[in-house]
Amino acid sequence: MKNDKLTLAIGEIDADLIERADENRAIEKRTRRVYIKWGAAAAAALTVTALILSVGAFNKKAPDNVPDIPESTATNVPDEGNKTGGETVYNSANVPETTDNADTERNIGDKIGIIVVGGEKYIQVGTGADHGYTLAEKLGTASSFEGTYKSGDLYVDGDVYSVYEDENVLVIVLNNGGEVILEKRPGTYEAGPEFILKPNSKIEVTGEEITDTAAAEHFNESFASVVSSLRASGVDAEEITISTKGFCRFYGGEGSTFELRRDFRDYLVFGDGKLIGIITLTKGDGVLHDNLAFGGDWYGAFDALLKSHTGEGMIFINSNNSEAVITSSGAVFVPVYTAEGAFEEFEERNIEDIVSDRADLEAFFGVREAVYTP
Amino acid sequence: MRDETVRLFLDRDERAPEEAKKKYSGYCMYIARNLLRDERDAEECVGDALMAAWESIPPNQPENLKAYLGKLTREAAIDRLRWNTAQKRAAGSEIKPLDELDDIVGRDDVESEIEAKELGRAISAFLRERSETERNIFIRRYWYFDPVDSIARRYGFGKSKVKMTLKRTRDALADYLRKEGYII
Repeated sequence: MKNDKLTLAIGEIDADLIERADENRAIEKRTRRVYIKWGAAAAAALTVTALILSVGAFNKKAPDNVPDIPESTATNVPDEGNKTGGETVYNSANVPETTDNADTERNIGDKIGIIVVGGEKYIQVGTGADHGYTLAEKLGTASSFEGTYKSGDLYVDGDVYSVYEDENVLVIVLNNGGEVILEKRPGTYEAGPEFILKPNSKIEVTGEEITDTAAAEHFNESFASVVSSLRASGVDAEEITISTKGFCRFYGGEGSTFELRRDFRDYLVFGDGKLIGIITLTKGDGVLHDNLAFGGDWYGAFDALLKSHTGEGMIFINSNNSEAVITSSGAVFVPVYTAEGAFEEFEERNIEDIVSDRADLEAFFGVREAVYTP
Repeated sequence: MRDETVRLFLDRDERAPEEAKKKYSGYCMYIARNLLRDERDAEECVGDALMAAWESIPPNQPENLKAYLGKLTREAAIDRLRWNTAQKRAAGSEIKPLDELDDIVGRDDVESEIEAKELGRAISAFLRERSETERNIFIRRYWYFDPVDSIARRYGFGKSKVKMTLKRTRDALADYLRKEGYII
């Protein structure tokens, strides 16, 4: 830094030039085609799925198209006398029909967003506009890059932006108003030989707790919106129920520490007894927000899994690039993907392949917020 | 169209710095981080820049508050880097973009009576004559302090192409400033 005057003089460059150098400018795409290997990376879909439709229907509570329901329909309020089979019964017939949002994205619950930009693969890690990143450069439309948006798997498109805070992060501002956060993930996501539950794994419980009571109160208020969104997407049922008990998932990173976020809790939505959606409740500053996912091809498989293990506790573990559902009886299931990346079924695996004998599985089942018993 | 937040500054509305922070702290942090590579230092620089904006608007009336705050942040970050360098806190790689400018002129080669603002105008005039790509790459490197690989990714070039473009632009700028009498 020998020449301070020149350094400062560059600071005096005209503002319009500075601004233009920072304008959203489409990145020059490389001609090399990069094919995405879904493999176990897409396994994250199970976890992320519940978030995806925050972009579609539910990130904003009480959308304009959702009619108010009169207080008399408070019979829908979950209470001890209004349950069947452990689920709270809501009568969707009480919710007025709405035809708005008929083009709400469907069938996107089984995919996570992946795009390849400049030869680097970015994989969805979250959704919602409250990610805290500042949009920097517009790189182009999501569908112009290799990945799930181009293939049309997500039925939605948007603009891809870099962010100022982290060069490994991209944000897609979707045409439907939602936002998707993606992180650069080097390498492929083939199912790794490593254990999902590694030796001497540690658990960190974080976040403000979402109680099932608070969730029930929240659903009482938002049920009309849930039904309206489901109807708008073509899903309808005589009787819609939301599980009275939710569950949180374990997230593991590179190491052997798993985080259980208590402010991130899933509730299952059933239509006439079949799984039709998942609502993820998140809590920030004491306020609950809901994100509805529905329409995933794998819901049938997940539903069957739940029914075949009724009465057993289940935990959901999302490791670095894999995911597993582990039951209290020791059964382990992992998502299986088609060559096209679709996730339609689970496959049972040997627990020895998934859980190290030095991992304390009991400790995972000991975290009450994590265990779901269908 | 002037940023509404500028109006708050001009009205001496105490919400102005907070509003500016909400809108542009990410942008400013990006610049400061690029140069300092230290989160705490960068945060302090952004705070200094907001304070400097509060103290300088008015009389200044920036048309582009974002660029104005970026400039103030940049200056604060350079000051902090100077201090860190004096305290031997800065790692060598952190001052690379600034060291590259030594290609253009040596320590004492700028005519002493020339003000930075005047030199800045000359550099702007020079850059307006370059291709948009060359200009943007130069600005990204020496105004925003972007790492070379970040510039490469931004424009879809290889790093070597970015380095070569920067070298050519520096050389051309040196010729220009010499020809125009700004440097000896």
